[in-house]
Amino acid sequence: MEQAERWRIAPGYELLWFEGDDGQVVYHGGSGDTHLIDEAAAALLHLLQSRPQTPIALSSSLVADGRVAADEAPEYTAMLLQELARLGLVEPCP
Amino acid sequence: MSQEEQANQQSDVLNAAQAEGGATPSSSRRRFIAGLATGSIVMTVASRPAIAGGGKGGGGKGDWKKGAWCTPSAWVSGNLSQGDTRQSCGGRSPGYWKANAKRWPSKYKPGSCKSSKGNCTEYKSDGTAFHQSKGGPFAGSFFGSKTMMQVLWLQGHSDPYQLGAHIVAAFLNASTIANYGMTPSTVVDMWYQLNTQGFYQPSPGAPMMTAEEVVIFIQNTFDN
Amino acid sequence: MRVADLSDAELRAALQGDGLDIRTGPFACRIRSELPDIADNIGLLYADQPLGQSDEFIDFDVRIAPPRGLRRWWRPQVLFRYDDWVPFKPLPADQAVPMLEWGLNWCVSSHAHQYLILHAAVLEKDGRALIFPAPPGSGKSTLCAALACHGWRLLSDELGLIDLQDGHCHGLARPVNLKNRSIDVLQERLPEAVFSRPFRDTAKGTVALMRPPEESVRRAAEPAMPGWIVSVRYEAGARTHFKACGKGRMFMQVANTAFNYILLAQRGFRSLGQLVRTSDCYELVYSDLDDVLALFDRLEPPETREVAG
Repeated sequence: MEQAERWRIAPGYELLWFEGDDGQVVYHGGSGDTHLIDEAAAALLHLLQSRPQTPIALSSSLVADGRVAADEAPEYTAMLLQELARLGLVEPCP
Repeated sequence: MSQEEQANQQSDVLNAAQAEGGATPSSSRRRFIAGLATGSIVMTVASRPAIAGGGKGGGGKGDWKKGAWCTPSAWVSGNLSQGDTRQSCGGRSPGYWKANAKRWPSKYKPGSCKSSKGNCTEYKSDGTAFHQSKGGPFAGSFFGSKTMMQVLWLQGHSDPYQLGAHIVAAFLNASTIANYGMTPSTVVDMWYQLNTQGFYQPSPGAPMMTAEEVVIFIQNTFDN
Repeated sequence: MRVADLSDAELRAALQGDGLDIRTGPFACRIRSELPDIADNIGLLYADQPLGQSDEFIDFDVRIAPPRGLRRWWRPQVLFRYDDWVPFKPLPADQAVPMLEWGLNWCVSSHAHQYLILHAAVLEKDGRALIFPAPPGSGKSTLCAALACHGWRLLSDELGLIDLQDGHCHGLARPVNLKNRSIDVLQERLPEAVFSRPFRDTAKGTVALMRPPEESVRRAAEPAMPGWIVSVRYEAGARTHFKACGKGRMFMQVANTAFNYILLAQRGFRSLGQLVRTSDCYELVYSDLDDVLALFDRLEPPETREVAG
């Protein structure tokens, strides 16, 4: 993954949220799919909802929030982005 | 009893069950195990693809699945169960094939119209015949020298259950629609069995379908 | 007027003629059938159901009839017709009564999209709904029947209707579908309840129907506020385990089993979110019905929260 590349929420579709005590449920208006995701994935989506960001910036925010250990954060963030991209929730900025 | 008290009464059975249900969000949050998925997406309820096309059933179109109920053998062995919705098979009704002579596959001729004015309601005998003895696809002599198009137009008294009309429609569907669920030869066999033995059996040992049941099955393959 | 107010001859004449109009919860159904088995069982199982008004809009016009094929005497079968449409394959004539029940469930679950339709058993006490979402085979119907005869009001053993406008739960108060072993268990426990004969070799095994308690039918139009959602699993010999569970997972479980969650899209998501937010969520594993009845006797309502929103 290109670390300087910025990522964004896939445009055109609304994300709806339900906050559970065991994770967050997110509804994707484009696919009509509903996902239960953990707090780290939810935090990443919320960060991208505020503005498009690079994996490095996202990774630092997750570390700052205490969600991921610093040494693992870059790889963890990259994998999270891939999983969320597979679900059609995020995409690299063109 | 409060929720907390109730929770305190529990043994560990449920905790074990819960752990089997998937990675807990907190574990994936704290540590990331290289080489495995993050476990951050705990589960998904996926939307099924909706199939275009209306239906007499009225509602639940978005739930339609193209599928197994489009074949006679699946139909006779299918189970009526809670929540089953009808499935789209992509078929067209006798009415469609009557009104859309231009859409017939070129191999079969609807024939020319008796009148040149307005929508055609009566066809000449110059189209493809119904029965094999007159050059058509189907066995027997039930409909004499009538053409396939003329059989589509027959009224109830000369076509009980509208079986002939439905057989022609199913045959044209099978000849034009990919993945309709039946091939043209399936439809030919369907008629052959009904004509010779009075019922249709999709495969040896399978439940038998009466003429009316065959019509009902064919109707369920129509999207319009 | 209730179905029980009709004489046997009047009931049969209606079913064989213009149809018997009955109200089940929010829906008016018109039922037609010439089969004696249908008349007998409607008289037995729907005795307390109110008859429809003559000028009323009919939501579901259904008919249970044999096909008119050559083989009808050789291999008796029945068809379920909805507005003269046949949505299902024929079943053996002996299964006409369960077919009517399943067919009516299908009518609701594939048409009543003004509701989020849960595949769930729903009961009520003190204005709050107790919801047992499917999966089938979980023992929800057994538990539902036992609770319906133990101080809880039956809303439905199969279909939970959540009003998309106000989030209230509506019921149908139709007969409870029991399967296989639970038929004997409940007949023994509930000597005062009324059961149909068993229908054998159906797609769901042996099936019997229990008449809904009179009070649940009389109050069928009263909705309930969300109360508790309990994911239930019967496990032979298990000690009762009852534990609060995460709302995220419960959301997903209910979404997975709801009939029209996908169809309703954003509206379904919002409605389900409101339901789960305002309900207390639990998991239950049980084998001992008495133990579970006592447990539900002690269940406290969730803290009052803002339901709308």
